[in-house]
Formats: sequence, structure tokens, C-alpha cells
Amino acid sequence: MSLLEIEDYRLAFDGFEGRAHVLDGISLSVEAGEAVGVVGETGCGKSVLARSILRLNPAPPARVTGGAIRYDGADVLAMDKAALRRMRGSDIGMVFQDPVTYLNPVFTIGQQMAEVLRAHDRRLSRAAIRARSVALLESVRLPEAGALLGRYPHELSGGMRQRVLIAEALAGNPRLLIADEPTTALDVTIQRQVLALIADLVRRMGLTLILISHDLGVIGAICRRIVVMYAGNIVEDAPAEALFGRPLHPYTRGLLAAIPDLKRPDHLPASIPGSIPNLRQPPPGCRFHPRCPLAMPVCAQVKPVLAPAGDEASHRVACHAVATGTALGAAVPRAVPA
Amino acid sequence: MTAPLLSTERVSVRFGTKLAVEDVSIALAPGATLGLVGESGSGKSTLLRVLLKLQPVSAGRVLLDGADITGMREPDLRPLRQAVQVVFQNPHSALDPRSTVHDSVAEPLRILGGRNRRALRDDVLGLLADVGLGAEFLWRYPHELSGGQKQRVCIARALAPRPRALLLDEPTSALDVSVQAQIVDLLQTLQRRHQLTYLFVSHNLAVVRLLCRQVMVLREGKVVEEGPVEQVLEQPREAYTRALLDAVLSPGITSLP
Repeated sequence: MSLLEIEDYRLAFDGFEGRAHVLDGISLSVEAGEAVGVVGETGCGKSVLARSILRLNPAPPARVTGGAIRYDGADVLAMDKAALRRMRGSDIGMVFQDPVTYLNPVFTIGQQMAEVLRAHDRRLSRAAIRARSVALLESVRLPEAGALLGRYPHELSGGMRQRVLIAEALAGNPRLLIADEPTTALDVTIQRQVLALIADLVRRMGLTLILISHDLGVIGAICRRIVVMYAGNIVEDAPAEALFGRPLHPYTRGLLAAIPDLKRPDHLPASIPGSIPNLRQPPPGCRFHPRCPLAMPVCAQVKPVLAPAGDEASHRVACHAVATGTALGAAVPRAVPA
Repeated sequence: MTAPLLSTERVSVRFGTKLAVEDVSIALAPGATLGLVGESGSGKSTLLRVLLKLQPVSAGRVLLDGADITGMREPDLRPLRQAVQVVFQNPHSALDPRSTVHDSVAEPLRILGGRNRRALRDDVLGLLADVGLGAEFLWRYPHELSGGQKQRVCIARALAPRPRALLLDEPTSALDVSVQAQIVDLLQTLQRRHQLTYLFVSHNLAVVRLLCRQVMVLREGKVVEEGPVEQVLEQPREAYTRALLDAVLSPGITSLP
């Protein structure tokens, strides 16, 4: 049994202008110990998916319209408030993008750590809380952890704040850590340190990781398996080597070709024509077909399902052109040379 | 060498006890693109504000076409306002949500004056065409536009007074990568078409490498290194520049230490 199983999960948001079908049949299984990266651009649903696992999307306006999510065999969608509380933080920890907004400016780091620790275990003594807080801050390699407890968020740099939030996410000894763009608000040098920390925690504590990012460089630094999302669908799910070495979905290829790469200064990034669809009236069939260079008539009629493709059994793609071999014959290199 | 269009000579900006910019000389050569690189707190935004005369300096001089404009006040700054325009990072907050595309782009033209309503509309249409937007966008509101389209509107507005230089403050950082390439492409086309001078402020070294010939690296308000982009980004002399380059994660698998 997988640690996390998402099966044909569908989520919509109701708004004044109609219902937006934000997640359109997501199926994803994550095994214990895996580090999975979910990549996609604005509006692809990656953050909504991450929040769905913890049922953090406010409902209404969110509305689950189908499918199932199971964590360790338990039906997440059927959980009552108490069960949800137990799962959040102690089974699954979560780290968000902007460390500034997730720390309360008027409480010290120590007070905020204590709040999290008490939420997991109400009987903890003050001394135990202090000892555990220091241990957690040290585990995310924050120096002088004891002194840090008395400081306020504004006295900390962005990288330090994100480390504090990671420490809080680890407070309940979760088995699964969901990190949603954890380094996007940080400078590149700090980003690298925080990513190295997350990679190290995953190794040392045997954590299962789901890392959400728009940045394939960030994902490629930690995750051995990459899931690509577009407009509420998973379009490709592959081992990292295969995804970078032999991407199959036309959207994945387009995304890789659009990224400027310092290592290849002669590569001229090519943009993907068109723009993301309106999810209130998504295109029929494959949601990418209006922008797809390989689109065939069937693409506008039938939604493609994720199916094994490529050399590895764990490489799956949702694309009619790939399935019929149209794309395989004309396999384009991962980026069009300039 | 021709005189720089816009430059500073050893400017410093002090905020309380902190020097946000320290002894920085920067020069925008006409028609060229200078990249300005640095992490948060490096002073790049403050320096940008100095060049726009939005930020008084504590020491040093600001020059437009070689003439000292350091002490100049607003009505006398008109030549600078027309010659130098700015495009900000976040197109979502740079446009008034209650103004149509037409009104946003027309505003600088209205201030310059001398156009009736029809001429104004024609000029706005011309500017929109310049950035690849058709007449159907004229009466749309920002919320009806994608991020890339909004940034195009901001660029059109910046071009309205026919500036000679654009200061581009992270113009692609808030955009998706699939759109980023379009905007980089557009900026290059516009530069050729109008012989524009660019200052391109960014933390994304790969985009700087694409767009700039010269680059300046700032750290804690001071210039760390400057020179041709190939040299600075391929054989950096300073350890800090090297650290910045090493931290860049290329798309692909990287093993972290």
C-alpha cells in the first residue's frame, strides 16, 4: 500500500462567474520514502493539490466533485475534525512559500514553537517544550537555538524564518512533508542552503517529500520523481533522469525549452504560444491541445489518460500523440538548439 | 566613447546609520543593455530609484547626458521624466485595476498634452501594436489580462513618452517561464526598433546572460564586480560572483552537498 494515494480526485471552485474545474481527475500514488516533485505554471493546480491532501482548501468555495485521497489507508475526505487535526502536523507537515506571512510578528519564535508543540501534546512541561524547541531548531541547523527562542520574526533573515517554519512542520514527527514553493521567496544562495537542508532531512529522518515548485532546477536538486501538471491535470509522471533526458509530453518539452540556462548560453528560450485556458470553460479533450504543436483531431474530443510510455515502466504520459507514436517518431531533443 | 545617457558618479545613499548604496558609479551607454545583479538588500532597487531621481543621494552626483541633475527639483526634471521610463517587476500591482488598458497607456500622453481624444486613441493603438497587443485589448481591465499581457501594457505605457532609456526592474520575475521568453524577445525587438538603452535589474543570471552585454554585481550597496557579461559570468574574478553563479540551479538534476 502506498503512503499516499490520490485517485481520480476532482476539485472545483465556485465563483460569481461560474464553477472553475481546478483539479480534473488527479491520480497520484506516493510511496513511503519517495521524494516527488510537482511542477507546473500559474494556475495548474499544484498548490491546490498540495492543500487538498491536508484538506486546507476552504469549502466553500472549494467543492470536491469526485475521487478519493487516502493517507496510510485512511480516507482523508471522510475524516472528522478530530481526525484531521491529528493528521495535520503529526502525520503530515507542511511548509509554505512566504515565510514572512506564516510567522506571527508579535510573538517570539519560542512562543510560536511552544504553540505548535502543545498542539501535538498538551501535557508537555515548559522545560520539555524548551528542550524540544532547541532540538528542532538545531535540526534545521539554526545556530544559537536557545537565544533564538527569545527573538521576534523581524529580527530573522528570510532564510532563518523558513528554517523556523520547517522546524515547526517537523514538530509532530510527520512521515510526509509537503513543501509548497519553500524557497521561491529566498535569494539564490539561501535557496540552495534551504534545499540542501530539506534533502538532508529527507535522508536523515526517512521523510517522504512532496515538493511543489514552478522551478525545474529546484525540483531537480531534490526529487527523483517528477510530476508535471497543466491546467488541473497531471500530464507526465517520470523519474527525474527520464524527465530531463527524454521528456515526452509536448507541454513538458515546451516548458524545458522555455527555461534560459546559464550552462548553455547559446540556447535561446522558446516560449509556448498561447496562454493557459480559462478553467471555467476548459477546452474539451486534452486541455493543452489549443497550444500543442502535435494536436490531432482526437485531442479536442477525448481526454488522454496517463499511460506508460518511454523506456521505463514508471514513466507515464497523458498524450494521444505519444500514445499513437506520432510524437515518438518525431522525438525532438529536450530543447531546440539555437 | 559617447557620453553616457544616464549615470551616477560615486553616489551613496544613507538610511539612518545604514549605507544602502555606497560609492557607486554606474553609466548607461546609449543603445546598450547593462545588467544589474544582486540579492535582496544589495541596493539595486535603491540605485534604480536614484537614477529615476526618486531617491535623494547623500553623496555623489547623478548625470543626464553629462549634465548634473543631482540637485534638480521636479519641474526641471521633465527632460529626465521623458527620456527615462521604468517597468516594474509585478505587472499585477503596477496597473490601476479601475483603469482600462487605454487609460493606463494614455495617461503619460495626456500629461504631455497636445492630443485630442482621437489622436490619443490612435497613439495608444500604435503603442499597443508595438508590444504585440491588438485593438481588442483597448477597453479591457487588468483583471481580464494574463500576467504576460499586463507586462506588455506596462511596457507600452513606459514607451508612451518616447523615452530613450528603459529601467527594467525584474520585468520577467513575476511571470511564468513559458511567458518569460516572449517578454525577453519583445524587449530585444523594441530595443532594436527604437534604439533604446536598457538597465536590466534581475536576480536571474540566465536571463541577464541572454539580454545584456555588460553586467554589474552589487552586494550590500557596493559594486563587487563589473564588466562584459561573458567575462563576469564565465570567469568571475570575485568570490561573491562565483558564489552567486554556483547557487544557480540549472534545469536538470543537481546533487546538493
